[in-house]
Amino acid sequence: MTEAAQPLVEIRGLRTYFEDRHGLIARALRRTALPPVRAVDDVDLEVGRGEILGLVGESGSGKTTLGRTVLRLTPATSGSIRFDGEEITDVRRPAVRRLRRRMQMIFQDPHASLSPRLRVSYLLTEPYRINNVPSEEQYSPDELLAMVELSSELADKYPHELSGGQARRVGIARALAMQPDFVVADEPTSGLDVSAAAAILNLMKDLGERLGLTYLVITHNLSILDFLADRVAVMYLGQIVEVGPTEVVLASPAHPYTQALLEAVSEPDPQLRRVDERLLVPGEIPSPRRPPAACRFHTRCPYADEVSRTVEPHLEEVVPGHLAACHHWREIHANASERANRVLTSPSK
Amino acid sequence: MGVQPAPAEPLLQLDGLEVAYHTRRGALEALHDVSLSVAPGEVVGIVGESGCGKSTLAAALMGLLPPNGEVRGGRIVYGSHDLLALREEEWRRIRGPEIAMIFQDPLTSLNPTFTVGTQLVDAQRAHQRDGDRGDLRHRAVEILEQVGIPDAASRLRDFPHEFSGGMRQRIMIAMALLLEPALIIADEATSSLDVTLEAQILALLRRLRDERGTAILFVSHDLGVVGQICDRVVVMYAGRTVEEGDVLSLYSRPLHPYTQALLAAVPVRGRRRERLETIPGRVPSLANLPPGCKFVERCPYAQPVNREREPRYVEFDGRRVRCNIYDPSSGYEPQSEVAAMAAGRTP
Repeated sequence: MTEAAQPLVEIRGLRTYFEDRHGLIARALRRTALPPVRAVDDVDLEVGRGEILGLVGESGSGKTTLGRTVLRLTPATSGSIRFDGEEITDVRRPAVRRLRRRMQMIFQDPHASLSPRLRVSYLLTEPYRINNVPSEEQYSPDELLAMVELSSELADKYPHELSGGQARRVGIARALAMQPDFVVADEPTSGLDVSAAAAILNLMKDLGERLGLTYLVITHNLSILDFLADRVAVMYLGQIVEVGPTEVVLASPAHPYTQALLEAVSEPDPQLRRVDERLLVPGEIPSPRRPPAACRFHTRCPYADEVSRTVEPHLEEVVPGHLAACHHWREIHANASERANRVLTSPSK
Repeated sequence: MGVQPAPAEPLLQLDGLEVAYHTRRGALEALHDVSLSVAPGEVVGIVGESGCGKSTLAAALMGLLPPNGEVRGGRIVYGSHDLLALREEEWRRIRGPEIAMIFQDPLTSLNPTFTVGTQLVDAQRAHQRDGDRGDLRHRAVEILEQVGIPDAASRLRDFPHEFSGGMRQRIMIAMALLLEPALIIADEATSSLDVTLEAQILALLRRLRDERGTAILFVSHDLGVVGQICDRVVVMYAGRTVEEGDVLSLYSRPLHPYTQALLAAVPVRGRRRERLETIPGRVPSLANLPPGCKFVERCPYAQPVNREREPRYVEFDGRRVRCNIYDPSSGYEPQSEVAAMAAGRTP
């Protein structure tokens, strides 16, 4: 992360809750309202200029909602989001529109976000029409296709004629058409074959360097973050439980949840095969309507004790820049470092 | 853990399987010359990118090809049964009690209108399991507990939509295990799950093999998962098997240039690189397969002979590989690093 300037994105105490709207009948029957879904629940996070921040967690952890809230696609319940120094949490429509030129999203399912009846050339320049961008500030479809390393022949195709990797590239080109500073990419490689996924990751990295982009990459795949991200934030039930430089977090995680996620990754190396001996977290992520009290991970955590069940942990500094929200991080971190050393010193093929 | 020696009698044997899909543009060759075997208790992985034919293979094995699919040649033998000669009523004695399938999406194979308990009891009834309703329910609870559904007895009354995604996947696995099949075909069974759940399901499948000797044909695009769970791996490309070997040697020394390229493209934690390797070009369309090697357009070692000569599936170094480089009679002239590869040394 570039320490020099203020971060591009600064999130403080952010909460995004979803309330069920109760209809007349439910109210007439005096149904007790369900508690809200606490998708994002008190998150502090910064994204530095030019940085690639990876946000990782299981489905239901709130990572996509956090990304959408930062882009103002989903309203925040409370807290603050500052973008380039400007408070944007409550700005109104016209200002959001202005912001949107600088903040873009690469959506998870490109085929769902590209209208099937429109040609690629139209889809690529659609953001210009929506935002009334004067023509001298527009890229041509050919330029946009070249930017994502696609042949200009694709301009006349319809989305169904594209491969998964090509559709993903069109999605990226569309996001970049507005020359944004900040891009949120939601599972940029999900559903792609190995080689197409590798090509997308290379492209995102190149474009980031060339255009000076700042990325928030949302994924459940830790291996792609190792390649792509400068820093990693780990999310569990609406909260950030660990954050730090990628190589530090992945090599010596301090939070048991991060450890469990890493443990569960199936490495493409049968020599590191541990399917029978992995330390697996039991069960599944609890409902974000009724998150467990105190430490939210205590119901699945092998280290949980009375303190975990009664006192809420906050992010503490493990080493400068590496934070973890766990009462037992000292013990866990020591174990993880020791494990990492063993893996690193074991003979590679 | 470790690789099991292949016993003499395979449980499942495919020889030269040919499958075509009839389309308006004519017949498309979806599988060509597919031969492989699965021994009792063995976990065999089928890997490849989308369109390589791995799901067609799984469907053909279950006798569930779509109406425009046709088996045009070859044999599928399960135990003493010739599966291609079975009539539909005979298939009912194979599907379920002998070979069961786990799909990627549990909602496609669980009926939304019946409770899980009803479905687990009826499945046993359909296969003439003895016992009254109580016994069958008891068995249903037992199987749900085995796959790790908490509070199984009370959850028999729940409908599929009342379970979380991970729990539904477990229920589908429970369905597959219910009649104690000797072979399970898992088609992208963990692909839609989070890593934490995926790891739990993989451990469950392994335990099943270790405790009951269930053989598993594990179809997946995920080289990580296949490397974790399989004893032997078959790599497919454009409807063909291109390489087969035990998991350790195949991953540590891939022979086929396609296997090499696939493995190089996977991001691996702890091995930071500036760029990931990619495979140039695209998988050829089934409607327009090149005459010789199907990988020739993307292969760094291609020679003119590969454009004309379809490679044979040859034995090499205790493995099988469909590549002219390893076939001395192909006319391929190995040079430098390729010669080293063909001679069996790591390039």
